Amino acid sequence: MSRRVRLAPSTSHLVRRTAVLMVAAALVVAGVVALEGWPSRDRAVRWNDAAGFAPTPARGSVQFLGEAMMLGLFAYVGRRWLRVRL
Amino acid sequence: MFGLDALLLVAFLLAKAPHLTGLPAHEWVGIGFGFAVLPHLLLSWSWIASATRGLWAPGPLRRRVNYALNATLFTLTVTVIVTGLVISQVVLPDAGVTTVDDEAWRRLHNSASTWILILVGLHIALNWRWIVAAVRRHALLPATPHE
Repeated sequence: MSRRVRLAPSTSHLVRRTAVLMVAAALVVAGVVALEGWPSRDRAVRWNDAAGFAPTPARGSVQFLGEAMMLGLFAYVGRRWLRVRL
Repeated sequence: MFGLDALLLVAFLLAKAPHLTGLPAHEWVGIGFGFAVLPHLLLSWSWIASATRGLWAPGPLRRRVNYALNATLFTLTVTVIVTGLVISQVVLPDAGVTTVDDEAWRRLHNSASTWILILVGLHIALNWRWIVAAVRRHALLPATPHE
């Protein structure tokens, strides 16, 4: 038997909660703009990331596994030494 | 909730490995991650609401640290997604949206995505017991059929 997961008790709750999260996200964006200013062509760089990040299975796998290992390491350190737990 | 969180973890790791996915998939995964974070937060709403209400009430320091960690994670996630959209070179330009590869926003995108790895690690550490219980329930002990 599968239990049906509901995002909110009602549609109005869903809309209200989503709006709260959107406002919180907008505040973060306002902070970013206050910190860095609006994106400007004067500061534009001309890097071709599509070429720079052309998929390479060997390098890509190393990067993926490296990130996964770092994530595991931070989780381990957090739990073992910083005793971050609920 | 478990399936969504597992999906978020895989998407996060894929987004962190653009040399594996290439830039177009990196951008699409990032956008998908942004959409998937919304239900993750909505499903955690009871905790968010009670923790926000109890923020200034007397209680253990641990609760405030947990709240600060999650609030910082939210801030970093929004920052990475928004800066990623602004410096997008494939998805948004292909959709006819003009983007600016602003050096400052690019630097912020890269540094926030580095910090987010540490915060996600601590987020996993914090919820470790729930994760272990969920893995046992969903992956190791598959549901037995009901009559």
